[in-house]
Amino acid sequence: MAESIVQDWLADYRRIQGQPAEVTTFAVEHETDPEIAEAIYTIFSERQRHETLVHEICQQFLSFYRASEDSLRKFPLQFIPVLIYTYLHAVAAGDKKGARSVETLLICIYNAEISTEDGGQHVVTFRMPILAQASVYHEEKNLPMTDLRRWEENCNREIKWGPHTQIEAITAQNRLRIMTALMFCYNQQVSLTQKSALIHLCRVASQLVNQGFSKQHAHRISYGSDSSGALVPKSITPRIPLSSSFLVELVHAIYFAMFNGFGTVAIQTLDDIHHRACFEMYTELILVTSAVRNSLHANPSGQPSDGPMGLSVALTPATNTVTTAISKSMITNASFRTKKLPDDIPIQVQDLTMPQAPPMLASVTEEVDPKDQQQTQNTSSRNSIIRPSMEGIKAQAHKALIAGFKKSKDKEKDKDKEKEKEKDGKIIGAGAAGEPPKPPLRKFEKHTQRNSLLQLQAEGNNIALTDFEKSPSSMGVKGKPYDSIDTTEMLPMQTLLANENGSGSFSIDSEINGGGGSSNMLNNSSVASNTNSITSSDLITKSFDSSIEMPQLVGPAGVGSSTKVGDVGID
Amino acid sequence: MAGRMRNTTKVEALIESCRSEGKWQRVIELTEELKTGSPNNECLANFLIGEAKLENYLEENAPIESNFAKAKSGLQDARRCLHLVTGESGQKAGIALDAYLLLAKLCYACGEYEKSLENFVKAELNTLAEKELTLRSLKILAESYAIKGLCLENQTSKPTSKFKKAEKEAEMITCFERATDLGLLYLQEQDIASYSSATNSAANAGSMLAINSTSNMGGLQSSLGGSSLTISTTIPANPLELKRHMGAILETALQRAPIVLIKAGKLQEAIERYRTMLNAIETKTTQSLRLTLARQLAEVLLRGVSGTIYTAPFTKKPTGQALRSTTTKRLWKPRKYAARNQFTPRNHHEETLLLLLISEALAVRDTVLSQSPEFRVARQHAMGNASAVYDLLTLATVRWGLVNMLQESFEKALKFSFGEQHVWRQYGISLMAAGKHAHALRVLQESIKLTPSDPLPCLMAARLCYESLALIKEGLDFAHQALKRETKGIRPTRSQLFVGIGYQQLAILTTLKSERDSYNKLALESLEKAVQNDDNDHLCEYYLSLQYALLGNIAEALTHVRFALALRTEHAPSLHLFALLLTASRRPREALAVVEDALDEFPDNLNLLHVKAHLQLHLQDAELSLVSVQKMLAIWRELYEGQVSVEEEKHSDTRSIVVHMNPTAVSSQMSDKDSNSVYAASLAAVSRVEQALSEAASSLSSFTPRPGPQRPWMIQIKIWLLLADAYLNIEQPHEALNCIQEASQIYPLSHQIMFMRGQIYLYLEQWNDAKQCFLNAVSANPNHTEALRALGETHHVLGEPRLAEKMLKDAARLDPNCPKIWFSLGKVMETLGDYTASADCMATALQLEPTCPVLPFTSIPLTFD
Repeated sequence: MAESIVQDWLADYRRIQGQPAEVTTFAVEHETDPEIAEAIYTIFSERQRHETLVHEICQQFLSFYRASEDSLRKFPLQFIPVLIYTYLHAVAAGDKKGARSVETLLICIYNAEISTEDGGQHVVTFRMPILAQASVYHEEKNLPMTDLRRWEENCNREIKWGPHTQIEAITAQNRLRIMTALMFCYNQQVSLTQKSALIHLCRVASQLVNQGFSKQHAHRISYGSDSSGALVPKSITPRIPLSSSFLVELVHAIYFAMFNGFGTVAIQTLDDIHHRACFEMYTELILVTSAVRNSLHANPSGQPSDGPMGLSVALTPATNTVTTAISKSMITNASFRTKKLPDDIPIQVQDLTMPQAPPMLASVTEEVDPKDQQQTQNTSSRNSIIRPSMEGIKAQAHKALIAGFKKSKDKEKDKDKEKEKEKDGKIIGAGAAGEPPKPPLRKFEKHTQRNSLLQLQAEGNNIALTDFEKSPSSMGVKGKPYDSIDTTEMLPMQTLLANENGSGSFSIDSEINGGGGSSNMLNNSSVASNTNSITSSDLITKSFDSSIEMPQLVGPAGVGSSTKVGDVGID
Repeated sequence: MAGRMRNTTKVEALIESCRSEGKWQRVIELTEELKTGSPNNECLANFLIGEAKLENYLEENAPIESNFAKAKSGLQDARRCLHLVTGESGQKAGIALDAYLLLAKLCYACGEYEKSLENFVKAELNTLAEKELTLRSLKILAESYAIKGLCLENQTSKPTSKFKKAEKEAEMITCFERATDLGLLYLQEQDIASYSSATNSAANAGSMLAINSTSNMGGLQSSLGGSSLTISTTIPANPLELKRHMGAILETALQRAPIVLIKAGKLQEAIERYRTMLNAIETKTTQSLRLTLARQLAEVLLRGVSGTIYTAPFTKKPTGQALRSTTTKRLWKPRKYAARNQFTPRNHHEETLLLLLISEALAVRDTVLSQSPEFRVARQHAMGNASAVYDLLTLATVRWGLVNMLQESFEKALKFSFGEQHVWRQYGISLMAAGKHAHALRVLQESIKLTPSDPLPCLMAARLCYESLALIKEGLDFAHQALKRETKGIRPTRSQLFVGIGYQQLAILTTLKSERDSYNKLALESLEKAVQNDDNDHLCEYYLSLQYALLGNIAEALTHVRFALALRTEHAPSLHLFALLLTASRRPREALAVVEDALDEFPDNLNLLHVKAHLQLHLQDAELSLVSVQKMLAIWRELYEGQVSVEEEKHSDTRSIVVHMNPTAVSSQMSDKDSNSVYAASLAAVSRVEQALSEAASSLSSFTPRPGPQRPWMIQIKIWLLLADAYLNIEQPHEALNCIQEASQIYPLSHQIMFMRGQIYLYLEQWNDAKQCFLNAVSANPNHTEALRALGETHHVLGEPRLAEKMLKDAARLDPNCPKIWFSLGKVMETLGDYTASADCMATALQLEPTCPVLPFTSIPLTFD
């Protein structure tokens, strides 16, 4: 039956070839005829019996693909999965010759698909969207800062598919890459193919991943008795080698099928692919398959069975049934807000002279519900609960009236500042309330600590220099702030160093510091270059045996580098 | 009188504001007041009471099917009141229209769709002209359209003719469309209104208190709500604290509109509807709706639209609407986002990713961090929403090699994913895919705990340990754990194989003979078992063959490698092993043929090329070998130059793109190991030493380490060394020295470079220099047997037989299967006059020689493909 249909189909087209008018009518008729595709699928599934027919079909596909009629050209594309299966199956079974015609067809389609009409290379590119830039679907100010920050890195990134190079032959090395590209092209067109082709897609995909995994295959003749080695029986079906990226493309096709009428079959196929992925440990593929599998159960994403494309109405759950008291205390991610810090903090001397700067001005503040916040703060300021809040409201309202209802970004900032001020005022007391918000101290401390550490290192290396620095002039006011640094804030290594040297016996005068440091470096590097030439193999061996980390290894060899190592250690 | 009038208008104004704020209980109270104040307002009062009762009831009982029966009795009062208004007096007062609309709503709540539709006809809903409306009217109108649409959809009586059906469908779609536009507009207006009322009421708080003591609470409450509103700028700090609900009817209609279009087969229109809805400026109430819509549009794009039928959004005026839209129509449209410099997606992928990123941000924001049991339901709901977005994001990004991005997303998700096995597992796997091995291992360990019955994370961890972290013992533990978790008989897994690989690697790494023997035994047992369990797995056969090869049983090894090749003809490591096995059975020519055939299939495989070049050297074809090495250099450039030119390894996103486009690069990159070292598996450890040494070097002199990832550079070193070897073979020591120079510019302190330099000195018969070089090499890596042997031989030449004996014995202890070491040792013993020992050594060498491969079997990199 299928055979005769295909024979007729082959003969029909052969008859009219070269007559453009007839080809057009043929194309129109062809598009509406569902029987032919089915018949071709049947032939492919019984490839062994119809070898010549398969060959002729491939030839016809090729001429279709090169035809000027658009519908004719698209026709062979829906067979890509089945062609790939046929080909890979043959290759795995060691029957490359039998699949020559399919191979040729695939190479031709590949070479055509990766190049554009005018002979250039076909490249699919897109810009990576970033949330920091407003889009037609969102305004950046309405999203949490953390998200914006994270995507800034991706700014202006271009993601590309291709360019691919033309190929002349398929080898084991490029085989799956070519198949992946072909599947990608298939996926680009998948919504144009006849829906009935999707079931064949699922069937073929299952076969691809399952072949050789069924338990029924005949047992091999036990080796060992005869070690000539040449008796691998023919009965076993070898597994088809696949690759992660190829299967990812396949999953995309299956996913399409799943939501376009073939839910049950596609889910089964997906399971098959998932098992194969787990067996081979294709990390990227496992990511995708488990994502899809997870979205299929117990998830608002919807099953293929709920409505078109698994879409259904998902009403917000009646959160208002939860009593307000509970929902107030519930912490969500939205309860936190990150404050943007200035990129760099200028060193301000007057800040340093204020030794009792509160450590509360951490870089990230947890923003609790305003009322809660007030409550906590009020415990210290001992005000009534209502008064400050009313005041706050009035201030806000006043502001809002002036500004109208426009919500500008600047205003947001103002408010933030104002709030910060409020907080500052409460913590520090009336005196400090008028001051501008302080830069977070921690970062500054870190900065100075690093300086000091460099200094310490330099001291360790050159005692004479430190003696010079210890002179009373530099011990004055400037040294003081460092004493106030809480040692618990330091990293373990730093405290260690600090303890070794006694605390606070260094200055921040950057000129001396830098000068001392660099002269040290110079001295040391000259020493180092002397030692350099000695291939101190003993030394190296020792370090290798005891597997000691770098600083110790280099320590005796070149002092110059030790400052560097230390520096890295802090960061 | 005038005072009373003023009072009445004041009350009316109050009622109006309560209506728009949905305080129905208060409306009833005020209406009673109004009634007493001016009895001629009875009609209005009836309407207000009816309305209030209806809304009040619906707030507690959502208009869903299960409530229909109950609603019929519960809404009798309201129905009566509203019916009174539809009369003449209502017409006169101009509220009959509203009454009809509310009646329709009431009917819908009772499930009386036909009646509801009749009411709409009476209200002449279709003929309404667009004009400015109060907030309340806007809501009534939006809901009316929504209800009409829903009624039409749920209508039981099927239209008879095809034409009728299409007409009805068109009407339904228009209704939904209007409902969405009006609904969004209403929500936007409501936002503005609440914003202004908050500020107003805050300003007037005092006066209101004076006027009406009962409104005290309400005023205060609204002002509090208002204050939180202004403080939290445009985003509500916590969506739950703002209790406003758009109502089930509106929400259903908003979500239903595009679905109805998809059902009608109008996919493109549905997408446009989603887009218009998402393009409307968001409000506090639409937050969760926007999440749903964004996710659904992404789903539609992923599930139903392939590249070719996609049209980008907002490129042209949507034609369907442009036809109908008149100038006045604008009044009933929601406001849209209109920032300058907006990102407008140009294609399928951009739009999908943009939507998913937005929904991720929205979903993540609402996730519940509190772990206490009373929030369990809310937490699970939020988690479900978030993980749905993550799943889609996974699907959309992995294909483009954006694993790094995905992994960052999961990292963020950990904050609210305590004990969520899916998120943890996905995070671990994404880290692994992104090449962050050590981190991945930690996460997988957590995942192992969370899924106590799944062998997969154990196996992944084992693989990480073997392949990238050089933690063989730990890997073996994971493999054992996986084996324990495995359920037999369903589908084969590789747990048993992994146990075998672990033992095999341990045996290779162990220097103590007794330990090594026991590991070898265990490895062989495990691998035999693995082959039995799954006799269709080429990898099991390959490792079994390798095990036999390592044990010196070449014949068995050949058998099994043939099985492996029968199961997978084109498996590069099997072919590699096969070639080495052939050289071990004195068939180097055949081996070369095998390698050449294999290279036809894998032209870029550096491992195979390496073997080829070595074989050619071995067969005294140094010139040909030179050609091979040159090819290797060319391939290196092709595969890795792109990688190393990338500024920093940090930007490995771009690298993964490279990887994605060129999968072979990955495999050879992943698999290329230190093939000259005895410890192929311990590359990580060795290169750590080398890394340390190169850091030392960088601090010493002008040496600057090469940029980019280190592995490609290591490969290049190996190629240079091989080239030096080839030059040495054709007696061009200067060329060889140049090669060494090139190599040492990459890593001056590599033990292999030192060894090779020594070889050149050896050739030049500069014995002392050679000795120094070998000493350096041995210092850098005391387990480098070739350097040990060369050192021994040099000592021998220099007339230091005792030292030579020591070195050679060390070498023999490390690698007892190398005939060359035994032969040299034999010669040294001969010099020392210990002839029996010498004879023993020579005999051993003779015995080993036929089964010695041209390169050690351990030079084949670990493979898992």
